[in-house]
Amino acid sequence: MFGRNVIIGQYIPLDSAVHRLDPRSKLLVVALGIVTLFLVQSWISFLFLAAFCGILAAVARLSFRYFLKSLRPLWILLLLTLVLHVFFTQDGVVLFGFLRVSFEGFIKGLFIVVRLALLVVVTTILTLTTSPIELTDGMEGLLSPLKKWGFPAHELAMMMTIALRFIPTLLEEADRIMKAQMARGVDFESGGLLNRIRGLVPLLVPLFVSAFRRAEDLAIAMESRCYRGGVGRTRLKVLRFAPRDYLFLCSAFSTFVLSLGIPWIVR
Amino acid sequence: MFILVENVSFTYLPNTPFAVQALCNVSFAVERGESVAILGRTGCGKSTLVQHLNGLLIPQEGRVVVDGVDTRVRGAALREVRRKVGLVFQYPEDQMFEESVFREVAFAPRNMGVEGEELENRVRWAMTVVGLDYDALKDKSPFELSGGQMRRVAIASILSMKPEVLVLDEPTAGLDPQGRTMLLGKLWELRKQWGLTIILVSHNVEDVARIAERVVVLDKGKIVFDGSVREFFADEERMRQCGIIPSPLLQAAFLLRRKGFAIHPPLAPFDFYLEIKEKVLAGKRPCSVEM
Repeated sequence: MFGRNVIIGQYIPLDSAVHRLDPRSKLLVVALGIVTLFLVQSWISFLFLAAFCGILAAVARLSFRYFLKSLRPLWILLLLTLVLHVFFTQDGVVLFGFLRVSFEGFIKGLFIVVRLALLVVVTTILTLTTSPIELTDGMEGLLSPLKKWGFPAHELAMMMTIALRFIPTLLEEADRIMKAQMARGVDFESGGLLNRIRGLVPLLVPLFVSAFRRAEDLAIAMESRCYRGGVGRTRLKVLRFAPRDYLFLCSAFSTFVLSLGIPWIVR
Repeated sequence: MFILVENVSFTYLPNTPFAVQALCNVSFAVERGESVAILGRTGCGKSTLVQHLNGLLIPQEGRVVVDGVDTRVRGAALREVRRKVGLVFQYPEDQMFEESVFREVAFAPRNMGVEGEELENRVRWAMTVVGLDYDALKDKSPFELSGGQMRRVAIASILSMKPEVLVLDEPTAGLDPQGRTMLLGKLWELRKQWGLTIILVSHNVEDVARIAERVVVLDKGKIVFDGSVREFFADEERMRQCGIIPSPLLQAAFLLRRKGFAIHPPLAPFDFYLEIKEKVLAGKRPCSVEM
């Protein structure tokens, strides 16, 4: 019911070159890729970036379906962007009164839609090929130089790991409680807005109660295993850059630089 | 036929790499007044099956008919199905949210539009039936109660809908022995005095032996046995194949039979088990065993 079609954050456990990359290099490339996506100004740059994403997705053996699925919750936003650009770009042809339709606006809107879509695709590749645990490990790895200045990198990563770990559990719990209340005659699916909000009380109260109980249990379990933060902690899986990571980083950087520079070269 | 389950199949997350087939062509029927236990090891599809019985899950293939109504109906008819088939989830106390026991038990009938004196009568009845003192407990917070009391409040909060079938998913899980005995006794009374049809999901042989007359055993989403408790508990081999571990007392009965001891009077293992149980509970000497 819930959580059955949330694809963001749903790792597809396959064994591919992309899956095996160090999470730090993937995170770095995604971060730079996002910056690049916002800097580029021409269609030809998008072509480069899209091709790069396509190659990654193909190597990772991800089917196109997953990307469509992850774009689905955004389609209203994308459509709205496009519509707003079509109607509110100043140099349009006047339809009637104040309403104008602009072809330029359409092109501009499409540009932004493609930018947003690529943004989603890039981050989806990351989350589909990297397990949440690897992701937080990678984040901790990238942030750990900041520890020198007292930045709690480990604690932050641990908090994220725990949060990610409990999302499916809480969704399952919510599903169960919702069903239990439906068995007691609650109707979550119809009625006015006020009725639906009122219907959430029997769902949220038990959910909070159980979340707090879980948090308490987890805290006790961690304490009884002598957890006391990141100081002096070693890890089971030490992250190490492999040759393929350097290859990946180099190819990604060159793609980004190329896609930024290509408009000048072509001109 | 009161509840009819016909060729029901159900798959979680169909068409994804995570697809799990939970039920595979399951068919059985429950008559009014029966008490049926659904047995099977963890993950065999028991919980999925019971959620089909009151329309919380709709069969992907096949159909479920409750008192002549297909559960694929919507709106008021579906709510009526859910009233008729009261479903008590596993750890039902996790669903509590109200500030008093009264409001908790009154929640379901209120959703069905019951009000005023009738509502109070129902709450009083439901609490009394499960052995809770109405006047002493009605204003208490449900979160202050003991585990066994909370469980009974949760069951009362289903009974207050006046269901015709009570479906319980592992009702004794996590209860202490007193709480368990008390609850099972109350369920038995419900059936005898109030004529409720009871469907019990469990893998606890003792619970099943106390409540049920008929056993439906699921294994990997399929029904592998459907018959009387006596028949099922007579065959140790089959029980173990189905992933059901006999209770210690039943194991003793099986052991005696295997070792060739004759029991006087000659009894089937299940009757021997009942006999020992009753006599021991009554403080009497059980039947004699002849070497």
